[in-house]
Amino acid sequence: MVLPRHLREMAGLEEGTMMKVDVLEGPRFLVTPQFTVDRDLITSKPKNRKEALLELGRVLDELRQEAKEKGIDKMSKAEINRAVAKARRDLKKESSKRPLK
Amino acid sequence: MIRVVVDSSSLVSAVISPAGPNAAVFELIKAGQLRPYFTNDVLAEYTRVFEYDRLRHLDRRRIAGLRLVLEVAGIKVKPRGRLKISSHETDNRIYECAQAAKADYIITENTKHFPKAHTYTKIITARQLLKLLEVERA
Repeated sequence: MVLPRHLREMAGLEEGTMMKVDVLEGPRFLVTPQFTVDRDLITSKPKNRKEALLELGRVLDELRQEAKEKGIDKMSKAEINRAVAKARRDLKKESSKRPLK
Repeated sequence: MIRVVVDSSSLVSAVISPAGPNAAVFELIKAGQLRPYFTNDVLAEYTRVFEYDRLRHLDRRRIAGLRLVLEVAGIKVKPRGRLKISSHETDNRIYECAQAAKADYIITENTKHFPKAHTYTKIITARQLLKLLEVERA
Protein backbone atom coordinates (compact mmCIF):
# COMPACT_ATOMS: atom_id res chain seq x y z
CA MET A 1 0.00 0.00 0.00
CA VAL A 2 1.37 3.40 -0.91
CA LEU A 3 0.39 6.47 1.06
CA PRO A 4 0.27 9.75 -0.88
CA ARG A 5 3.33 11.84 -0.11
CA HIS A 6 1.35 14.76 1.33
CA LEU A 7 -0.38 12.45 3.83
CA ARG A 8 2.94 10.88 4.77
CA GLU A 9 4.48 14.29 5.35
CA MET A 10 1.49 15.50 7.35
CA ALA A 11 1.91 12.51 9.66
CA GLY A 12 5.70 12.97 9.79
CA LEU A 13 6.39 9.49 8.43
CA GLU A 14 9.45 8.34 6.55
CA GLU A 15 9.03 6.65 3.18
CA GLY A 16 9.03 2.87 3.69
CA THR A 17 7.62 2.95 7.23
CA MET A 18 5.84 -0.32 8.04
CA MET A 19 2.11 0.14 8.55
CA LYS A 20 -0.37 -2.01 10.43
CA VAL A 21 -3.88 -2.03 8.97
CA ASP A 22 -6.94 -2.93 11.04
CA VAL A 23 -10.49 -3.18 9.76
CA LEU A 24 -12.88 -1.10 11.82
CA GLU A 25 -16.64 -1.44 11.92
CA GLY A 26 -18.14 -0.56 8.61
CA PRO A 27 -16.02 0.03 5.52
CA ARG A 28 -13.24 1.77 7.43
CA PHE A 29 -9.56 0.99 8.02
CA LEU A 30 -7.23 2.11 10.78
CA VAL A 31 -3.64 2.53 9.54
CA THR A 32 -1.00 2.69 12.28
CA PRO A 33 2.73 3.20 11.67
CA GLN A 34 4.96 0.54 13.18
CA PHE A 35 8.29 1.74 14.50
CA THR A 36 10.89 -0.92 14.98
CA VAL A 37 12.86 -0.66 18.18
CA ASP A 38 16.56 -1.24 17.84
CA ARG A 39 17.62 -2.52 21.24
CA ASP A 40 21.23 -1.70 20.51
CA LEU A 41 20.59 2.02 20.26
CA ILE A 42 22.40 4.03 22.88
CA THR A 43 19.97 5.38 25.44
CA SER A 44 22.26 6.11 28.37
CA LYS A 45 25.64 7.73 28.79
CA PRO A 46 28.63 5.39 28.46
CA LYS A 47 30.30 4.70 31.83
CA ASN A 48 33.70 6.05 30.93
CA ARG A 49 35.75 7.61 28.17
CA LYS A 50 37.10 4.28 26.90
CA GLU A 51 33.60 2.91 26.49
CA ALA A 52 32.46 6.18 24.90
CA LEU A 53 35.22 6.04 22.27
CA LEU A 54 34.19 2.49 21.35
CA GLU A 55 30.55 3.54 21.15
CA LEU A 56 31.50 6.55 19.07
CA GLY A 57 32.80 4.27 16.34
CA ARG A 58 29.65 2.19 16.42
CA VAL A 59 27.20 5.09 16.34
CA LEU A 60 29.14 6.75 13.52
CA ASP A 61 29.08 3.52 11.50
CA GLU A 62 25.31 3.24 11.96
CA LEU A 63 24.67 6.86 11.04
CA ARG A 64 26.88 6.63 7.95
CA GLN A 65 25.08 3.50 6.82
CA GLU A 66 21.74 5.24 7.31
CA ALA A 67 23.00 8.36 5.52
CA LYS A 68 24.07 6.24 2.56
CA GLU A 69 20.73 4.42 2.39
CA LYS A 70 18.85 7.73 2.42
CA GLY A 71 21.19 9.52 0.00
CA ILE A 72 22.26 12.03 2.63
CA ASP A 73 25.92 11.13 2.17
CA LYS A 74 25.90 13.15 -1.04
CA MET A 75 25.29 16.48 0.70
CA SER A 76 27.60 19.16 -0.61
CA LYS A 77 29.85 21.32 1.56
CA ALA A 78 27.67 24.32 0.69
CA GLU A 79 24.54 22.52 1.87
CA ILE A 80 26.25 21.47 5.10
CA ASN A 81 27.20 25.10 5.69
CA ARG A 82 23.58 26.10 5.09
CA ALA A 83 22.47 23.54 7.68
CA VAL A 84 24.93 24.95 10.22
CA ALA A 85 23.89 28.53 9.47
CA LYS A 86 20.23 27.61 9.94
CA ALA A 87 20.93 25.86 13.24
CA ARG A 88 22.78 28.95 14.49
CA ARG A 89 20.00 31.29 13.39
CA ASP A 90 17.37 29.15 15.10
CA LEU A 91 19.34 28.88 18.32
CA LYS A 92 19.98 32.62 18.34
CA LYS A 93 16.28 33.31 17.82
CA GLU A 94 15.40 31.00 20.69
CA SER A 95 17.95 32.48 23.06
CA SER A 96 16.72 36.01 22.32
CA LYS A 97 13.18 34.91 23.18
CA ARG A 98 14.31 33.37 26.48
CA PRO A 99 13.50 35.69 29.42
CA LEU A 100 16.48 37.12 31.27
CA LYS A 101 17.14 35.63 34.70
CA MET B 1 46.83 15.18 23.73
CA ILE B 2 45.70 17.76 21.21
CA ARG B 3 42.68 19.76 22.31
CA VAL B 4 40.15 20.52 19.62
CA VAL B 5 36.79 22.16 19.19
CA VAL B 6 34.97 20.53 16.30
CA ASP B 7 32.68 22.91 14.43
CA SER B 8 29.27 21.51 13.43
CA SER B 9 30.24 21.60 9.73
CA SER B 10 33.03 19.10 10.41
CA LEU B 11 30.80 16.97 12.61
CA VAL B 12 28.13 16.72 9.91
CA SER B 13 30.70 15.82 7.24
CA ALA B 14 32.08 13.07 9.48
CA VAL B 15 28.63 11.74 10.32
CA ILE B 16 27.30 11.45 6.79
CA SER B 17 30.33 9.88 5.16
CA PRO B 18 33.19 7.60 6.21
CA ALA B 19 35.39 9.15 3.52
CA GLY B 20 37.27 12.42 3.72
CA PRO B 21 39.36 14.35 6.21
CA ASN B 22 36.57 15.01 8.73
CA ALA B 23 35.91 11.30 9.11
CA ALA B 24 39.67 10.85 9.56
CA VAL B 25 39.62 13.44 12.35
CA PHE B 26 37.03 11.35 14.16
CA GLU B 27 39.29 8.33 13.75
CA LEU B 28 41.94 10.31 15.63
CA ILE B 29 39.40 11.18 18.31
CA LYS B 30 38.51 7.49 18.60
CA ALA B 31 42.20 6.64 18.85
CA GLY B 32 42.57 9.14 21.69
CA GLN B 33 44.97 11.41 19.80
CA LEU B 34 42.58 14.34 19.72
CA ARG B 35 40.31 15.33 22.58
CA PRO B 36 37.14 17.23 21.70
CA TYR B 37 35.85 19.98 23.97
CA PHE B 38 32.39 21.49 24.06
CA THR B 39 30.19 23.92 25.88
CA ASN B 40 26.45 23.56 26.27
CA ASP B 41 26.03 25.97 23.34
CA VAL B 42 28.22 23.83 21.09
CA LEU B 43 26.38 20.65 22.09
CA ALA B 44 23.03 22.33 21.44
CA GLU B 45 24.23 23.22 17.96
CA TYR B 46 25.41 19.64 17.35
CA THR B 47 21.87 18.46 17.96
CA ARG B 48 20.11 21.31 16.17
CA VAL B 49 22.07 21.01 12.95
CA PHE B 50 20.57 17.57 12.39
CA GLU B 51 17.09 19.12 12.28
CA TYR B 52 17.94 20.62 8.88
CA ASP B 53 15.66 19.40 6.04
CA ARG B 54 17.80 16.58 4.68
CA LEU B 55 19.58 15.72 7.89
CA ARG B 56 16.42 15.22 9.91
CA HIS B 57 15.82 11.99 8.02
CA LEU B 58 18.52 10.44 10.18
CA ASP B 59 17.16 8.49 13.14
CA ARG B 60 16.69 10.96 16.03
CA ARG B 61 17.63 8.30 18.56
CA ARG B 62 20.96 7.77 16.85
CA ILE B 63 21.64 11.51 16.88
CA ALA B 64 20.76 11.61 20.58
CA GLY B 65 23.09 8.63 21.08
CA LEU B 66 25.88 10.43 19.26
CA ARG B 67 25.53 13.39 21.59
CA LEU B 68 25.57 11.17 24.68
CA VAL B 69 28.70 9.43 23.47
CA LEU B 70 30.45 12.67 22.54
CA GLU B 71 29.71 14.17 25.95
CA VAL B 72 31.63 11.35 27.63
CA ALA B 73 34.32 11.00 24.97
CA GLY B 74 35.17 14.69 25.20
CA ILE B 75 35.25 17.31 27.90
CA LYS B 76 32.56 19.83 28.65
CA VAL B 77 33.73 23.30 29.65
CA LYS B 78 32.01 26.47 30.76
CA PRO B 79 32.69 29.62 28.76
CA ARG B 80 34.37 32.35 30.79
CA GLY B 81 32.33 35.07 29.14
CA ARG B 82 31.10 36.40 25.86
CA LEU B 83 33.63 37.04 23.08
CA LYS B 84 33.21 39.22 20.02
CA ILE B 85 35.79 38.04 17.54
CA SER B 86 33.69 36.96 14.59
CA SER B 87 31.23 39.29 12.89
CA HIS B 88 28.89 36.30 12.79
CA GLU B 89 27.72 36.56 16.37
CA THR B 90 26.85 32.87 16.69
CA ASP B 91 30.34 31.80 15.62
CA ASN B 92 31.64 33.44 18.76
CA ARG B 93 30.18 30.54 20.77
CA ILE B 94 32.85 28.33 19.18
CA TYR B 95 35.57 30.83 20.10
CA GLU B 96 34.25 30.92 23.67
CA CYS B 97 34.44 27.15 23.87
CA ALA B 98 37.99 27.19 22.49
CA GLN B 99 39.02 29.81 25.02
CA ALA B 100 37.58 27.89 27.97
CA ALA B 101 39.19 24.66 26.75
CA LYS B 102 42.51 26.29 25.89
CA ALA B 103 42.05 24.42 22.63
CA ASP B 104 44.89 24.00 20.19
CA TYR B 105 42.56 24.05 17.19
CA ILE B 106 39.08 24.89 16.02
CA ILE B 107 38.38 22.40 13.25
CA THR B 108 35.96 23.78 10.69
CA GLU B 109 35.01 23.51 7.06
CA ASN B 110 34.09 27.14 7.09
CA THR B 111 37.29 29.02 7.90
CA LYS B 112 35.82 32.27 6.53
CA HIS B 113 33.55 32.44 9.57
CA PHE B 114 36.54 32.28 11.89
CA PRO B 115 38.68 35.19 10.74
CA LYS B 116 41.52 34.89 13.21
CA ALA B 117 43.27 32.67 15.69
CA HIS B 118 42.55 33.32 19.35
CA THR B 119 45.28 33.18 22.00
CA TYR B 120 46.31 29.51 21.89
CA THR B 121 43.79 28.41 19.30
CA LYS B 122 44.42 28.13 15.58
CA ILE B 123 41.68 27.85 12.97
CA ILE B 124 42.15 24.87 10.73
CA THR B 125 40.31 22.57 8.35
CA ALA B 126 40.37 18.82 8.92
CA ARG B 127 42.53 18.41 5.83
CA GLN B 128 45.08 20.96 7.09
CA LEU B 129 45.19 19.34 10.51
CA LEU B 130 45.83 15.89 9.05
CA LYS B 131 48.62 17.29 6.91
CA LEU B 132 50.14 19.03 9.90
CA LEU B 133 50.07 15.87 12.00
CA GLU B 134 51.57 13.93 9.11
CA VAL B 135 54.46 16.41 8.88
CA GLU B 136 54.99 16.26 12.65
CA ARG B 137 55.12 12.45 12.53
CA ALA B 138 57.62 12.41 9.65
